[in-house]
Amino acid sequence: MNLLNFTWPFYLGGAGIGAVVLLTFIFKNKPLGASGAFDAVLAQFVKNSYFKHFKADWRVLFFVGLFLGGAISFLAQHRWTLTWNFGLADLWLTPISIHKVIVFLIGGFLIGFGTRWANGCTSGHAITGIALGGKNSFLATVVFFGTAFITSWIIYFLIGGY
Amino acid sequence: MKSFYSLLLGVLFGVALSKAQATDYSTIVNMFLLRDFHLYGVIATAILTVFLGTQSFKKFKIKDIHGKPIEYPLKSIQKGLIFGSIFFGIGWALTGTCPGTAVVQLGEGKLTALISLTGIFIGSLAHGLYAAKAQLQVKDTCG
Repeated sequence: MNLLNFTWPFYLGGAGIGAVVLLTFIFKNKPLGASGAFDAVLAQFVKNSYFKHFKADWRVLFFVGLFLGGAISFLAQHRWTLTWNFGLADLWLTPISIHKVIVFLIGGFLIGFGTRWANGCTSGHAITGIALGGKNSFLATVVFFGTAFITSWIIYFLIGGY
Repeated sequence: MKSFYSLLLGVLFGVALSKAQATDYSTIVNMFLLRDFHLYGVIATAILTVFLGTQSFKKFKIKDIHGKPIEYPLKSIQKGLIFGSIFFGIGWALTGTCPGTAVVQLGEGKLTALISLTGIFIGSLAHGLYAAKAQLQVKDTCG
């Protein structure tokens, strides 16, 4: 438990993430992908020709695990707390406001629709895809990083810095 | 057992993302504004780890837990790759969140994740309905 009770340097965080990707190849014989876990959850409730591919997807439990992992991580550092605070976001959206709800709902929608349309996010494309030498994953990564860059700078100038 | 591994991998990934500070809005935004390079280090190390690991697996013909040869599929080009990535990039910059980190944030007690997750589920649902209507092919699923 000592391993969880301090701040991890970047190489430990990166190695940890990489190790879980490798373990997923060993235990599941599949590349690790987080965005599909949402399809797996939805497939339990929505029946159509798309979601049926995710009906027996074990990532429903992966989804639960992610939640538990977050809890364990913060509890081990005695920093678990329920809060609306969200770092620099508080500077332009306040901890909780109608503006924040609108921005995060729209942002969330773009993430949900976008990652499934692109068939992957940071874990599937940027980390696993690139490590395997995938050209399409490299392309996707360049596009979503580039777009995020531009969007962040636009927000920065629109709100006068954050 | 299959279910146990999925749960375990989820927990391990959640802990790793949290410890790597990938769940912190400020760290993410500072990454995009080039004020903090921590996460670039994390991602680079992760890619290197996966590269070295999979290369070793291939060299030593490492099998999976059931004794079967491991497959390393590459994602195929598909219609939404570019536009989907643009959508994701905008959403990522707005919320400082990814699909995976949103769930981890909820576990960490960050109530903001409730809003993000609602949006992500609505977006994923909209995509799934669109994909069925447009009869998009479902290739490569992950684990």
